[in-house]
Amino acid sequence: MAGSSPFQVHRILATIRFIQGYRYLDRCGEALVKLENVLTEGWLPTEPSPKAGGMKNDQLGMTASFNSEGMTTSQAEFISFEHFIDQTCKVFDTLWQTFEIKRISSPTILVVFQKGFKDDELEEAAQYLISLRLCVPHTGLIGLMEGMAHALDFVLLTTEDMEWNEERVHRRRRMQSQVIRQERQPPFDERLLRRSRQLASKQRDAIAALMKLRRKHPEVSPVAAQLDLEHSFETELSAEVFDLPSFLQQGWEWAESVRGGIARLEGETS
Amino acid sequence: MAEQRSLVNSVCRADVLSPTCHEAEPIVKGEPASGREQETGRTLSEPSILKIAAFGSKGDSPTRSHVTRPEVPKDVATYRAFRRLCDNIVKELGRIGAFLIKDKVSDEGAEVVAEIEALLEELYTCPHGQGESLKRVVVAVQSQVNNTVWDRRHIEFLRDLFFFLRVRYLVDEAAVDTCYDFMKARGLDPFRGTICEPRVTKRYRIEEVLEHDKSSGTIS
Repeated sequence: MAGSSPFQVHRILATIRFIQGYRYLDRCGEALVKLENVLTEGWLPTEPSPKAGGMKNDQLGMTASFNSEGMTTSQAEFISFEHFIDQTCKVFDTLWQTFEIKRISSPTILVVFQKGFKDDELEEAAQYLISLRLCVPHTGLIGLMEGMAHALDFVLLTTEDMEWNEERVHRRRRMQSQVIRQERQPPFDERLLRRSRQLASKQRDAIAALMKLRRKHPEVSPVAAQLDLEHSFETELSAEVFDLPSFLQQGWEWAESVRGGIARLEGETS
Repeated sequence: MAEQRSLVNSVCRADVLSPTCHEAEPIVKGEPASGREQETGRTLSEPSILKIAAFGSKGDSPTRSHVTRPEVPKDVATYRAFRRLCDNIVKELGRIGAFLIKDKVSDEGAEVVAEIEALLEELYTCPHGQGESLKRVVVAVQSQVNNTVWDRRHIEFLRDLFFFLRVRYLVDEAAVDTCYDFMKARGLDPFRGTICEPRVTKRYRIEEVLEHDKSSGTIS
């Protein structure tokens, strides 16, 4: 189903907001030490500050960041949902226990799909999105604007109050369609410039892997038709009993089904 | 990762989310001709994703499309088995209420008890979690529920534990500690069935001794 879609997964993000997560300021360092021990190999902590602490893993293409307000994990380009769910759940379980978070809110998963175009195909990308007819403007509106429809970006929101794991939740789903221009920036970490003996063994391995990755030629479409699909519960939940693995899995499956559905729509319109 | 260029939305301009604002999703086409620097509003349809400024830029990660993919993490596969066993235990616990008579599980409930004990055995062999943590949790549970007539405390302890455990992805030392916390909270003895169980309990009493000082006639 999803395999035949022209849209490819470009990025996955997950966010959970903490309620009374102020212990971040006391225990950020402790959280980083625990995460280094719990997560898979290749994670490097970034310099923590009162604003945020974070870690990144270039081999998995993942980042994890957190502060008193919440946590966010992301994975880009190298997409492996198994790794994403595994690492995200471990980050969450470590953080809510370390910061003694009792309640959380607005768990969210965002899946970004892209169909790539060449540098000079901006028009084609826009026309491709219009041709999918995901959102059709009123003909009267086009008449008022005068001329031809040239580009159409839109956001569609749906909400529903529902029962999930024996709890009432307010589900919010968001779809954004747009054409974007993008440019790769090669990864840089100042630890690349340091003598390897000055680094801890874990960091040395991670930096060596990053060195190798940097030598690879980046591949990214300069122009892309992009669909953002976001699934969230705008509800306060208990951190202890929140079923994050199921939440992520359901959000991912929903995004995949939308991608498959859009591929079918494309078949019908062409 | 790629740096996406173009219009930064009005939320970012208001500096609400500060340093990561350049990550806001851009619009290439349909960019308004006039500047919108004065806008400070938020729209109803804004994304829910939280942007945390822990990284310098979006371009911090290279492409990996042609890089050898690491093996699927062990916990992904084992979590499914772990979750299935926990869900089955929770399901069995849902049935056991019908067999509670005067706070004790009746003989008719033996079938459910046996089922749960078998699931616990299976859980013991499940390789999920860090090191031996899951095994330690199961041993702790078995020390309470094996070779005894279950009563309401046992059921409530199991409910507390497995409602907690089934949604835990990271089963580590903290999960073992939580298991003992639930045990104590339900009035169960953490030392039951262990070599640490005290056979004799000695009690001591501290008494205040009053001595009469003959020379001064006072009590010291």
